[in-house]
Amino acid sequence: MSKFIIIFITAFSASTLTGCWNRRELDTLGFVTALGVDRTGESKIEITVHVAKPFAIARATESSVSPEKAFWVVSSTGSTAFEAIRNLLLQSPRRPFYAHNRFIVIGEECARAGVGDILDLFARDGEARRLARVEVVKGSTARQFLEQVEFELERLPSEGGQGISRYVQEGVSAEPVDCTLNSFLRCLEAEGVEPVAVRVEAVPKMPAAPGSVGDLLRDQVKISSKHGGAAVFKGDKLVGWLDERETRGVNWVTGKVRSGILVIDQPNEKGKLVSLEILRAPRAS
Amino acid sequence: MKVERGKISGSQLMALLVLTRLVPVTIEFPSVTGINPPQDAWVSSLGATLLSIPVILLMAHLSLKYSDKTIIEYSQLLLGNFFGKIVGFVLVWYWLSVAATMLRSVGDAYTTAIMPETPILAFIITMALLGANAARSGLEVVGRLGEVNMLVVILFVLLTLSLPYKVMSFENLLPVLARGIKPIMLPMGTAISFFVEFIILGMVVPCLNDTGALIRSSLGAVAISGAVMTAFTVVLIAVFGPTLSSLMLPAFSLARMISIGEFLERLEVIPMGAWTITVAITLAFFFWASAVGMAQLFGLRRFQSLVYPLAAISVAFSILFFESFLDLELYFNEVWVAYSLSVTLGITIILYVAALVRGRSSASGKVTRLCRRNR
Repeated sequence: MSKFIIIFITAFSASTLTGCWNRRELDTLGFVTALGVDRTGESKIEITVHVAKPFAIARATESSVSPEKAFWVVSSTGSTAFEAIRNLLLQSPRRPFYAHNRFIVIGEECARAGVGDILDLFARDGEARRLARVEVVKGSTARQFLEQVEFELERLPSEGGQGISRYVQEGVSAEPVDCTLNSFLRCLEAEGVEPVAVRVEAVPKMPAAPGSVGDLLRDQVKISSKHGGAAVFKGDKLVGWLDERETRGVNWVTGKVRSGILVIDQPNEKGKLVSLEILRAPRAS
Repeated sequence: MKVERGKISGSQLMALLVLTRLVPVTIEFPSVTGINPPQDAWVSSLGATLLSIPVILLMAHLSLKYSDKTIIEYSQLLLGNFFGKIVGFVLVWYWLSVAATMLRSVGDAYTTAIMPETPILAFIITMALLGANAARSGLEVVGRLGEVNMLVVILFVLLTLSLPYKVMSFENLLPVLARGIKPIMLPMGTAISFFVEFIILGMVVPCLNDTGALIRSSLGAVAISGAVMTAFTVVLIAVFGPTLSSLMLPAFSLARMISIGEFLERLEVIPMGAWTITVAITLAFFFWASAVGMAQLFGLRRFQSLVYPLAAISVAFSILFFESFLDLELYFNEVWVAYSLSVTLGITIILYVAALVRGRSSASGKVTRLCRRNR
């Protein structure tokens, strides 16, 4: 009898416990790798996302070169950030999935108007992670930046951005600040500290000589980006920019410098410069 | 006539008590304490640990006076049949309501964190079944479960605490007590009111194979769980700083911050494992205590048949008591302190005073003999 019950329970659970309500198949998700925020007219918020195209990436590894872009850029607007994100669903056949988002890019105008209410969404949302980096585009909107910028060496722009921001963590360079959403919010919330985000700029590349065919068959990268310097906030509003040298100063003060180059005048010969590499800097926790 | 014949060791009792205390720690501590500024949360948890030591000592001492009886039995002995039974019912109610809040916490944690569209009952009923099934097997089984799994939970907790080392900055701990001691009084009370759940040890004492170990293991439980709780708050403050107070599930959010070399990531499953293990075993412990208590109140010979009905009642409570997760947090912030402290401390003090009075008026042996005759 008891054997029968055990068999019954096993069969019953096996047939009912096959999955859960919130099951999401991998091929129904669109992985967002970077996300941009702007404010447009009529106090609307515009969200621009990079969605990775897995098939394009896969094809590229098969035949070594693929002319197809490995990502899809799409924007949508809404009265709040959440509404804008939900409106993306109207255009995206795969549900955007934010857990792998690496960057939150903010347009300059939007940053000057204040970002607290927008970032709050990403701080509280169950999918987004607080490890995404916060960047502010100098002199442009996030939409323009995300639509144009690519890197020669990486198929996904977010991979390129990730590669550059890795230098700060590894301590190869001291110039950009390292700013995750978590540290941004922490500084925003704390008394006596104001947040500093990464400054990014679109950098136009020289157009190649007509007719020349490079190894890259895909569209020539016309605009790339530069991550350096810092965007200074007061409260949640952007108030100014720091250049690379000033940013290194910030990193000295906050104890984040681990390595980098210092260029100084040579003491005993006028007009000449000496570069010093920082090898060991005292690190604050 | 003994309802529970099993025997457990002191270290098993300690493990069960530690797990009991770790339920709120791994799920919603320190947000439940509603502390502001959150930088002081670690002071309040340290203070709460220290302050609860004398309380737990009082409970243990009281139970040791009647080491062959459960708290349900000796409250009838001390206060007489009528008032003693009232105390017993209050205690059983208390354990059931604690079980209900635990069920609700873990159910809400699961639905908030990862599966928002799944009905909360799916988790609550599964947990209650897990706990009730273990409770039916008696204290020995629950004790062994606790002993084995405490180490697993502690390992999980240590992993969650140590892996996000990259994002910690300990200057967040400063300033200490910027607004003085006053704003941490109530949070400290909340933390203590979780410790006083240890009144459940009054049910275990007659089942201990060495009653001398009672004080040692209950104090050990306070020390271990207090240390874990304090370490947790320190790390949480170091990682999240002042934004800590806006987190619903701090331990879960902490695990989301783990990123080592871009491959050791997305380890949310660690705190979730800790939730499941701690809640299931603690539920088993509380269901067992309420069932045994109920059986003793009604003079039943077996407690096993009471476990499933009591578990079902606490499932119903967990749905009926709270409307939402916020409601649960509000309950912990505002009601729980008064409720938990008045029930446990009130009962302990009343019983202690009664024991002192009885002890003075007649030799305690005489009382016990009298009582045996009454039976």
